[in-house]
Amino acid sequence: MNVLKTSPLPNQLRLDEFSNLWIGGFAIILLLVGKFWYGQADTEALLFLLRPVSWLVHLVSNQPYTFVPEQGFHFPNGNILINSSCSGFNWLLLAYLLGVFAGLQSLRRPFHKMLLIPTILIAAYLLSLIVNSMRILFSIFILEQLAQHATWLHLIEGAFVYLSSLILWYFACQYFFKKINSLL
Amino acid sequence: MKTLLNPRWLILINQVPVFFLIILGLANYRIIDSQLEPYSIQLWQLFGLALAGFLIIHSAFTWVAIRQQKKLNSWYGAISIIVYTLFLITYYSHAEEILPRAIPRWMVAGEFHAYVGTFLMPTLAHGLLVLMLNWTDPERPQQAGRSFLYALLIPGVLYLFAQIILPLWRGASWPGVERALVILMVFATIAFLFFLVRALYLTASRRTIFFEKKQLLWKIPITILFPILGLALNNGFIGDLSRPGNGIFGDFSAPSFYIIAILNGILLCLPNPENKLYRLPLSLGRAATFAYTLYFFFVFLPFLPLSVIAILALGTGFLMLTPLALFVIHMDQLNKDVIFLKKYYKQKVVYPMLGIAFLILPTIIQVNYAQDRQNLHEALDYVYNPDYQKSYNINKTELSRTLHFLRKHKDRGNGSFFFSNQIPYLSAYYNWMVLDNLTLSDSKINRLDAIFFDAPFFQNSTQVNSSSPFVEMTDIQVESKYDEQAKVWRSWIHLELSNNSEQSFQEFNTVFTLPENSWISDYYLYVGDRKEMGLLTEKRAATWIFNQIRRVNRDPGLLYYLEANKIGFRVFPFADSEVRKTGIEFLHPEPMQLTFEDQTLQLGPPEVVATASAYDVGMATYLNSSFKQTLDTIYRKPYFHFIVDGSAGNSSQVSKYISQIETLLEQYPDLGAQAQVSWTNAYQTDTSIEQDWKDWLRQQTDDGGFFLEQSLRSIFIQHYQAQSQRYPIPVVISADIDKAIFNQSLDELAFTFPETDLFYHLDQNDQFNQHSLLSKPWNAINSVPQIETKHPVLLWEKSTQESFYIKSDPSVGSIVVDQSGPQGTELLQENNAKSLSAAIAQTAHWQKLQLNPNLYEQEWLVQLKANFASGLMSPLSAYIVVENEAQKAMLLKKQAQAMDGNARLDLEEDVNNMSEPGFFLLLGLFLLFLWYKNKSLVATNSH
Repeated sequence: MNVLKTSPLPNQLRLDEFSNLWIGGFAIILLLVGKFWYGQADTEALLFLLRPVSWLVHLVSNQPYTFVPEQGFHFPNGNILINSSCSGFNWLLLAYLLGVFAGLQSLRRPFHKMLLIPTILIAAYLLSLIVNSMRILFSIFILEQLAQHATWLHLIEGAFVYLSSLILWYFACQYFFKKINSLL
Repeated sequence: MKTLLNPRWLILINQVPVFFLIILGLANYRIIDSQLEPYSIQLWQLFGLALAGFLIIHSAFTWVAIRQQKKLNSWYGAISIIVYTLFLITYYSHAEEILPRAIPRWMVAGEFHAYVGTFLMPTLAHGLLVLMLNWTDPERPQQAGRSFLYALLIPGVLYLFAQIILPLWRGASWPGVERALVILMVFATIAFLFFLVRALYLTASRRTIFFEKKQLLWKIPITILFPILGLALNNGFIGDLSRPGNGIFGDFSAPSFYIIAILNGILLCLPNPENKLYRLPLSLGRAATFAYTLYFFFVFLPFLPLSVIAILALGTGFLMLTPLALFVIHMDQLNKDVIFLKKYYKQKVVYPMLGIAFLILPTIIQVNYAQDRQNLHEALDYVYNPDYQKSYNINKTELSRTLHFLRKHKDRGNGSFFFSNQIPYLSAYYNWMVLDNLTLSDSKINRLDAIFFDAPFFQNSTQVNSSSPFVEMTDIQVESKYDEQAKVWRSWIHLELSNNSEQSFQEFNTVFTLPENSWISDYYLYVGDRKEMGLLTEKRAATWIFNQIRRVNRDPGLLYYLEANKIGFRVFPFADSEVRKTGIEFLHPEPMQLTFEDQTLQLGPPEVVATASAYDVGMATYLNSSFKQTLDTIYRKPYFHFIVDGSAGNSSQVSKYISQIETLLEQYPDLGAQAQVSWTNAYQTDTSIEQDWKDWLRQQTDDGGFFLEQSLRSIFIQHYQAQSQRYPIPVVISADIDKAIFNQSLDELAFTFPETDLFYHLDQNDQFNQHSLLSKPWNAINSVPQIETKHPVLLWEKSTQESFYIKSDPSVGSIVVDQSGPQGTELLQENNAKSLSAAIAQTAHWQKLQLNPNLYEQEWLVQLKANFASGLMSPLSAYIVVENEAQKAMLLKKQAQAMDGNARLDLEEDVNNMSEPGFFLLLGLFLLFLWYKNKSLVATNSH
């Protein structure tokens, strides 16, 4: 049995590839559905992301905010609007994709792989709230300091925060799944 | 071919199409479910669940088969064929109940029934191939001849059955016999296709010595002759099945279809030598034309079940099978090419090379379409939203090609698979890619043709009036109230409309003039006993939905701008002797009179006279009638602006035109002193009378049509923006003004010509004909002996630097806009309530769009959103009442489409939106990072 665990048989390898194909394909279909849905989604549909993010931003910045129906969460100080275009859903989708693929690369047992999608979804959701709140808080800071260059700085800052967090997330997933694999 | 037995194919062939079919079905069901009877809902749910069940079972089977590394066997093929065939038969036998006739077809995307067949056909075709591959022994080549024989026998037996047995049954009605016959027919077709494909497979595999040695004998007919014959037959060039330009399966009459068909055939017929230098380009050529073979394979896939019927009905029906045969041969040939190339090149090189070759045709199509889009949008921008500061030079050769293509691809709305002038799939892609899924009306295409190519122009000046003579207004009540806060009168007119006949489905359709400085701010219509308030929506979406609803006799009411101050008002339908109630609210700063259905109504008490005031909202001011009476009347100095017809064929007239201008300059020296001369065709070039204008005119070239409207607009806009103390009197010098191209009158620009709304045409007999800029400028009003040159105008000096010239009509107020300052967006957002300031802001912004049509594309949404916020209707919006939620959902969907799907009502302009970076940008950056990381890793390892 130990031999099988450390050096899998060719047949077992192929089985891994097959489950990778199947789960990877399903994950991509889910991603496409998510992207399609996001294209149609309005502010109300994205409240599951916008509400906690706005609350987190409020918690850190200590700025009041109100919910404007059909528009989003409005922070009167600085006239900031958090709406469907800033929900963090793009980050969530990417983190989910990268997490699933990192898992498929490392995990061996089909049962673990089947658990992968829901686990990653939950983790990516929670993390997206933190990353997005951070991005918005940085943006607010930039806006306050450098209002005249805010548009492109905001874009660069967003890309920087998102990309660096995605890279960290990807390596963390790889490390974590390898650890799991070696433990089980 | 054997690769098709790999279960991984099922993901692509079955799971993806079925998944999209379910999504498509769901999207359609959500729109129409409120309109469906319970039985139809049950059917939708039943078929939807069945499909979802198939998807789950099929997916599970795929997964297990992949895991167990099993190839697909004949059981799989047989079961999938039987299950999906029975599903399709059952589905189509209930088609009428699934989409009842009561459901308007425009509510359902495309031809939904056709989609069901199209999306499931790959599974059926694959099942058939699996069956064939499992039941065919390639080592027994004699099966090929036998299979051909069976394939021929099936239609023969069916023919005899139809001729001999069926007549004996005539008159007898046994339960279920019809369905049994349908099932028999379908399975006979499947058996026919099975034997045919098997025969082709064995033949193409060169298993038989005879076919191998004499392969050109069968390859030339299948790969060259039959495709050409099929195209010619489809396009009506041979036989009388269709007429040219209206093919049976689509319009494949373009020469490129024939050229590629021949090229494809030649490439497939060329021998396969062992020389790699020769074989490589040959294989790449075959890969390139495979896109063509694949395209026709998919186009004809849904029609394969009809092939036996087509063969029985017409001998030439066998040509329907050509794409299938070609596909089998082409696949087999490519397979052999890949095996050969792998001997000489690495696998990593072979597949990308063939892949790139395969993409050549789609890329050419894509590039062509992208170019068409650019050409078309540039021409449309020039005609409808020109930038008067920019000089245009549109490539006429390319535009001509684009317009030709556009006519071919244009959706005629018959929605039929057969006898269409569209190219299957490609037309839909073209509509999406070039036209953003909207259509370009015939009149717009005609206008482009006339402007750039001097084609005959058909003036579209008549409004189709579908009003019933039996429906008339039987009561009208006026209710006016002054809103102190909004500084306006709010007046409702409540109408009672009656159908005085016993005929149903009558329509009330009228046009009335909206008095200057008044706006429509609300609307209602009673639907049964329910008072439905109007929805203010995007005008194109509203008129589209109204026309669709009107076709199915539901209850809409519509209120919209026809022209600058002409309002169209329609209510439909009126049942036998029905009386309907409706009402319109107007916003107006001063009491006014409105003429509606020949009745003059007083809105607001006439005795109320406002004190003279100028109501300023920033860069726009409303001067009320009392204020205007205090202004000075002055007379500005006029000058001639000669517009010389430079359209095709006018070079020969130049001498005559010059002498006409010289005569005028002598007659009116004052007007000629600083006159301007324009040479007008599709474009306009100008010179001054102080230059050597005669030589200049002689050097001009005549080309295209006489786009007089654009010329007039350009003159008035440029003059207005200069705020000159002189004003132009346009004189058109043309031998044939009937050829002048007008899209509409210049009434939206009336504020730019406060002195007079007349321009003149000097005809061949040196006679002056007066034309109105405000109404049908293409028609002469009358002939006059001389030009009127004295016109009064009011002068308002807002400040020492700012003077405005206002129409001398002190009975009504005027809105004056400072065009030099920043305007529009900010003003609109500051004034978004139902008030005078909002009305002034909207009018000011609308004027800005008229003066700068090039800003229209980027700013029309700003105006529309302001309409939505204030409830005030503008030429971009319309009030509509729809009957039910389904219509409302469709209206909003169409509106989103018209607004490009991106429009959301924003808060203020300076709101800081915390938008996140785009998905693909992030994905690209991440992939770039991974690539860099791997590269660094490889570099480190190599050291």
